[in-house]
Amino acid sequence: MNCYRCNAVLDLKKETCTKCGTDVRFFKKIVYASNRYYNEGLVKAQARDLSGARDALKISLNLYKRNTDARNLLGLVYYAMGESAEGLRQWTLSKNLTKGQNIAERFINTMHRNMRDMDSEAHGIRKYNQALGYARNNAKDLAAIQLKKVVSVHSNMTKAYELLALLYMDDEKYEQARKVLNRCLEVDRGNVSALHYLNELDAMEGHAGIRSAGVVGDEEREKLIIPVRFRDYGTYLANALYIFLGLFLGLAIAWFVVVPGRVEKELGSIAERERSYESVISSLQEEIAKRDLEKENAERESHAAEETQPTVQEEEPEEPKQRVPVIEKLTNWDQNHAAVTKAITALYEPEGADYVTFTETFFSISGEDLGKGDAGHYRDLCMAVTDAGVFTDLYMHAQDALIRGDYRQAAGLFDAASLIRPEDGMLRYNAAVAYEGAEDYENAANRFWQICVLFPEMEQAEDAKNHYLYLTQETEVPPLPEGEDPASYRQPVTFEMLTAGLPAPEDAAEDPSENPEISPEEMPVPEYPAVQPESPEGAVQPENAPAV
Amino acid sequence: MIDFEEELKKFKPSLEIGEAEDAVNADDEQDMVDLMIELMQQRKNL
Repeated sequence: MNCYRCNAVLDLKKETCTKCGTDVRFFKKIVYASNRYYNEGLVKAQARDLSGARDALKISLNLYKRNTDARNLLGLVYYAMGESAEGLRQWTLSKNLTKGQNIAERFINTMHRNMRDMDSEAHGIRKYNQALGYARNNAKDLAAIQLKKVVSVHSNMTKAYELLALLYMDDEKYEQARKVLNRCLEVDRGNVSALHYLNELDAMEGHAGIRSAGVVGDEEREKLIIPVRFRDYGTYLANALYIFLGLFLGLAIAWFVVVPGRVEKELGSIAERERSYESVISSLQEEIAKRDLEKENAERESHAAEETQPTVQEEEPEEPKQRVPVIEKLTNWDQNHAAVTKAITALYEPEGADYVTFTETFFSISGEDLGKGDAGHYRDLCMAVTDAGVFTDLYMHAQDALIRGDYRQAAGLFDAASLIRPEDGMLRYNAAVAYEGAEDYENAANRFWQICVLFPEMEQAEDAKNHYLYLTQETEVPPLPEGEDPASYRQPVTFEMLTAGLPAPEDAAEDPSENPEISPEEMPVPEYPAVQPESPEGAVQPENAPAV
Repeated sequence: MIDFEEELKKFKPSLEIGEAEDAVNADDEQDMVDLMIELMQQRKNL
């Protein structure tokens, strides 16, 4: 203990400072009291009662702010509760107050050395604050989603558990609230809010609890006694019979009412297709018959003039060309229908959207070859793709994956994000970094190359170039293939662009065979440069593909 | 019964890591020892 006036070491047996003579009786009492609270905090921290430890240590520091041990321990307690910033603040204060050998300096250096962990902690805190903002603005669902992500990554953040439990209780999801509170108490045994909420839950479920727990008074115990009676087997049989009867009736209704309707609808659509095919076939047969007739006429006339035969033979190859648009259109319809269905399923997965599958499938759809029903769905998918909220969710998933070290997933998600926002070079850069982390050097090199040729003005372009040259061991970065325009790969995706070739719902053709004579030359060319990836790795490639 | 709005008011935003090390000045905090020194000074002046 040092004198508060001259900083000389005090003789604990004397009431005054031996150097300056100051009366230190009260000072010593305050310091002893501070130490008592420090000891209490230490015991509670060891028993994982972090809230209790925090409160005791705060009192200790309110008494004597230069109690270095108390301040360092308080920082550690905050860190254990997921409040890294508060912990860092306490250690910084401790370092300022006590120069020289101080364990706080070691804690601060450790935190700064692990930049990834520090970024992750900062990210978690930001998300918590965001969630709190959502909850205050009544966006409780968004807040709950955000908090679930926070606690999944930062399992020691007690504040996040408390707020999530509160949201669950407000939404009457009591079981989930209870689970969250129990997890909070595993981190901090003395967490006051968690205990308070659990008591409230017990009180709310009190009646049910009394019935099932058996911890009751005499009066309730009498009510709990189940009267003894013989088992009524007849009742069981009757119940079983009713269940089977119900099942049978349900199946019968399904068989006789629902199935015929569906079968009829299917048969109807098949018959319609048959008719359309028949009309196509008959028109083609007419064409064949017409040509046969012409051929016969030509043969009759050509006995003397052999030159006319080539004319007939030259015309014959044209026949297959007219079939192609119809068959191709039918094939495209089927493919696009399957793609629309797959994209919808991927976007609305119950476990969470599968953005990689969604974006790959969505950008493979050709908007012109869609039936009326699919055109409507495709329009909805276009809205989802261009929605800022969807992009933000996708981006956050990608960031989370990168932070927790799931590089493969992060790479796929950043690729998906760059399909939606091709004008954002950072997404491709992040994908490149993630591929490199996943040791997929070929794809990493490809993404770095894309930065060099498509985003040369980016701050990271030089870094991307160095990475590319290092990974491929080439001496220079190959340019974009001749004829390719870099601007076309950076064009932002808009709703209008995606739906440009889409027929209006009332104009969508029911059946391509209504107009079987559409030639490939007449089909509209999509404006959006459809550089669709065949694989998640992206379609843009240098002429000489990097061999890693 | 828990009042959601009242409970929500008790939640404060967490300090962010960037703000933690900014201009931390320990002398701004007053503890019991500082109060004791102040009282003793006042007694002396009297």
